Amino acid sequence: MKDDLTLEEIRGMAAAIGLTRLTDEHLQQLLRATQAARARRAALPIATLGPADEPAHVFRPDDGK
Amino acid sequence: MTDLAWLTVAEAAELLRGRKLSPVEYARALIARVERHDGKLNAFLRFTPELALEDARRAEAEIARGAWRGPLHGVPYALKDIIDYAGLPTTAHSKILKDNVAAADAPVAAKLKAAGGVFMGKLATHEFAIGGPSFDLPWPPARNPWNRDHFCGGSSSGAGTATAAGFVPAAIGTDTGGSIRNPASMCGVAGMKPTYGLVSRRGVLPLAFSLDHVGPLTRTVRDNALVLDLIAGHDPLDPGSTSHAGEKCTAQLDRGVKGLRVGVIRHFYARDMQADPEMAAGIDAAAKKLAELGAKVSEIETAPLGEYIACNRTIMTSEAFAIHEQWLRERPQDYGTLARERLMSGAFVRAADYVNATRLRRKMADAFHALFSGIDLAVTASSMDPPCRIDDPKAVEHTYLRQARAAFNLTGGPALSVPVGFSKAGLPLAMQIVGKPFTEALVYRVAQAYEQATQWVARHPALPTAA
Repeated sequence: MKDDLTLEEIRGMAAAIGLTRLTDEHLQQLLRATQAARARRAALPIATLGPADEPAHVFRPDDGK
Repeated sequence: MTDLAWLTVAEAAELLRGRKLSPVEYARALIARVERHDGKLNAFLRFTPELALEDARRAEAEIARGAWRGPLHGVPYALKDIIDYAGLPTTAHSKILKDNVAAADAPVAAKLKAAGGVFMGKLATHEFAIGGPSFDLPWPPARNPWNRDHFCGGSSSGAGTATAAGFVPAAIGTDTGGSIRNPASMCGVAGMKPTYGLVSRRGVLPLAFSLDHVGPLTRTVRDNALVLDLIAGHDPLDPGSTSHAGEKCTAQLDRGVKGLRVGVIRHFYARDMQADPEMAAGIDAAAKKLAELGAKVSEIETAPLGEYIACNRTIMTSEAFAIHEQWLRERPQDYGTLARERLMSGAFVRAADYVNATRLRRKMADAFHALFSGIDLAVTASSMDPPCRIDDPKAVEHTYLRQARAAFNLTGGPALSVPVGFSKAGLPLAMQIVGKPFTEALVYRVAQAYEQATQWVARHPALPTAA
């Protein structure tokens, strides 16, 4: 995914997931929000993960019994 | 008798049980106080004096016939407005849910009713517990009782304001990235994010399922422990609820800290983020006070704060977007500006990034809990800054993420914010006391020793009067 998004690109991405009622002001917000999310992604130390590192919550078939 | 506004739950319980105070008289005093001052503070989104008097009359009759239910019997309380109270709307402070009337009580509300509490109403929140402080919602944002021009924190903003203002001695909030502890810090009260799953989340509008916690805000540590004991407990209908029956929260309250090993996570507020000098000095002084009281205080290191925050936010925004996607498609204009932007930041988080964040969460939590082989508890900052002006969006945005709370929504153990003094401008300063899961009693023990050795809880704000 490219780092520098334009308003038109974010409009297309939004439409693709059904966010078709966003105004230009909303799309500017989505653009900023997406850039912030990508900055957070870059801050995740995922290189420290090994293949067997499990997620924090995993399915347990006895849940709720 | 002490001004009824500043009675603690524990003090009120003694007076009510001994029939030296009438629940109706107590409720009327706090109702009058809310009516006098809340027009300037906006703590209550829905104030319910008629329900409060009904509860108070019932409590009075029960106590008169010797049927005392416990420490909350006849004591006023209020709920953040994302918690269901049967027959009242649960609005989340949002236009989207303004007519969303709850069919049943959330278990936390039911427990407080069963304890004989006097329900005063629903409290302001940031919209959907994420977007605030906002001026573009159907209700105004709550304000800080210490200075109404300043931010009171959030998202459990009304809960912080109402307890600090003497409107109620106890309120219930929720915390996904710090939303109980932030208003507690900003308003100078005690706010506990308990161990994940200790209090049922059922009937509470979710923000992020795997990070959401429900907990109390009170003016004193003892009250906080008393209320958490009332609302904790296994709920088989909440998939995140734990059946772990820990020690009572009040069990160790008066044992002091002598010999306890306290690790100060100083790099969170001295290196990873540079806290405001007054805030840093307040926390350092509190650590020194614990050492004077006999604790063995040392500095400890954990992962950089930025990694915890990135991990928390990646999980939070992904889960929150999943919850809000349909509304964001159909009625994006009905959200306030802040909630819409913060919720949309989960729109394009890749599935792999979400899963990796949850994998990192496990590693970070395991590493953090391993530190407890050498310590009993940790101490660190809550907010990096004293409350900023509420009408300065740049300052609000700047300080919003300058906090060390989100780390402990990931690690899952108890984290309590308590006051450590006041800035030169008269605004509250705070620290967090953090334990490994199910050590609430120990966290409260250290907080109680510190509170008893200082006089911060004796200070109360002078409130503005409604026009």
